[in-house]
Amino acid sequence: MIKQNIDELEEKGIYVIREAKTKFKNVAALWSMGKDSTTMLALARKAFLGKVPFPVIHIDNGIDFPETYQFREELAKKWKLDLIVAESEIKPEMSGFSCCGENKTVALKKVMAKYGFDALIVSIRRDEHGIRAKERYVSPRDHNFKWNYKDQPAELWNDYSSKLDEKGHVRVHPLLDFNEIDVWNYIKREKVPMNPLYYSRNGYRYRSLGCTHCTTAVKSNAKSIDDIIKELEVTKVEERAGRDQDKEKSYIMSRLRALGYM
Amino acid sequence: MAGIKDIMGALNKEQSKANWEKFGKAVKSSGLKYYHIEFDKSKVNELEDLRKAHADLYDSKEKLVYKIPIIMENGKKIRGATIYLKGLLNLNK
Repeated sequence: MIKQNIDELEEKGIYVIREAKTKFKNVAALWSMGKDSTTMLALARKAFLGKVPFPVIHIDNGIDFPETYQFREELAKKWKLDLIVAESEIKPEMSGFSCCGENKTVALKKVMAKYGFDALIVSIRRDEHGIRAKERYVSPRDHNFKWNYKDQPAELWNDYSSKLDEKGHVRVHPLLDFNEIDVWNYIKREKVPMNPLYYSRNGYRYRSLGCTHCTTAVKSNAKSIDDIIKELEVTKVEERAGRDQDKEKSYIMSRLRALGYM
Repeated sequence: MAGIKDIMGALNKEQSKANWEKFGKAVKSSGLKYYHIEFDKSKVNELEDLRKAHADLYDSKEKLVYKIPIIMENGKKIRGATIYLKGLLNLNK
């Protein structure tokens, strides 16, 4: 895994977050309590003198891990987050596509409409998945949340588009160039509090976190951040090996993201 | 764990919000320490699969003490209820 200069990544992430806060009227961030979105919040705190200056949204269908809920409550209190919990119902069909689509994207649409957010900070990274590699730092979505990944604005010389479709919004991706190992190096350097599920217990740990029914632990003896970094330096297992949605039909992530999923 | 036994009985009969809230309040003093969510199938495809799923609850010696469902039904609204297992630790088995 390629390690990058985390000072440069941090600088760019902070720049993107500050630009988003300045250019758009009503910004919010999505927080899944995973390593990436928690790192994004740490960047936002650094960008705005210790305070996250926008609401953070958790799309909650009630079947996240108990540790994840615990972590949400502890960190929201510690960092004084303006937390919006968007509760989603569980529909009869629960396969990856309809579950993440129907259950989560619909709840996100509702909360966006309710609060009128025009920019949403999302902590995806290009190295996670092929379709995420196609993303831009600032990525427009139309009024139906649809993403036209075949027609995206160029982002030359750090010049990002802030043009909005009427009633649409933009997704802002400050962590786009981070690799998994960069995230862990940043967590280590900045002492970012982390969900305990990432650390090994009984020979297993979660490497990528989702809901309880679609996430499985991977074999690992990494009990600390240093262990995780060492493991990532040599592993040949892909990060999202424990995520069901990636194993479904091919292009499922492309379809989900095109329809508005994170 | 006399109190929690009654709560468990009620919860296994009816997964209402009121029963889950009683459980959530009782967890800390229950002596329970770990959970492991078991799914009937290796892959959850529909709500029925989630209805058949349950959480195994263990004490501090990792002895299985209870089994409970993991959903909450509030009228027609169905949601997961794992937030009420907060405070317990994943066994990752």
